[in-house]
Amino acid sequence: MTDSSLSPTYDALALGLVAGAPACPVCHESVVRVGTDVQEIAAVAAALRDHDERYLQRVFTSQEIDASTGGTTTTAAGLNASATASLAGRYAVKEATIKALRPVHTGVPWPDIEVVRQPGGWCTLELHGVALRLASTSNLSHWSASFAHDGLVAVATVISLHTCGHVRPS
Amino acid sequence: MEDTIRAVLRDNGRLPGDVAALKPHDDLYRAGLTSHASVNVMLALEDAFDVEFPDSLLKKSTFESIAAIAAALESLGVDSSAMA
Repeated sequence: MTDSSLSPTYDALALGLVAGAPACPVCHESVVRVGTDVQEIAAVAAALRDHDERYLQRVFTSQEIDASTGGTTTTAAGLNASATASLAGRYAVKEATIKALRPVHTGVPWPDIEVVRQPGGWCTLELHGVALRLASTSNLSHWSASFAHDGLVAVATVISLHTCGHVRPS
Repeated sequence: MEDTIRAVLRDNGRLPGDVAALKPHDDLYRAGLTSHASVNVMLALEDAFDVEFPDSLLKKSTFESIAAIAAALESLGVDSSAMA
């Protein structure tokens, strides 16, 4: 588990697990950082109705909007239920990510947290700007996200790995 | 300004209780404000006061109370006596 070919992150994870607790060997925080969120889909529909394009532009990237709407959006208020649920799921990912980032005095613009749909259908997470800087400052990497929606709500879970650094066993 | 903030909260905050009963420093999140509803509140405040919240103010503490919202608006140049 401490093969020199492993990355510092995996070394830290391995060290934590070997020690009996998944903790960073430097700061002793958990190596795994988790965020979760649940979002009422009707609230997103109401925001689209009340604030239309401004809501979309302030919260989502153009790629996220296209992925949710199939690129066929006419007006925000006219989006169908499936697109609205998809946006709610993406919003939940953003909030889950903010919970994992744990900003205290820093504002995180929502488009800095981007859900990227992959050709296979699953999604990955890309951080930009303030979100990326916060992740770097907290030594968070290897982000993974998942969201789902059904009925009235969308839910999301985000996981990242934390390690304070390049510590290897002597 | 406070009356306008209360009106925005009433119409956009999706709070379960009476906005008029909130004190200026009452915690809006404890009163039921969700993170998503705070987005609606922010957009409605921008409309009401003709301002735009910069990235630096897009944090939970900006919307944690009526007083905090008023302070944020004042930092954007809104006159505390403004009645939008």
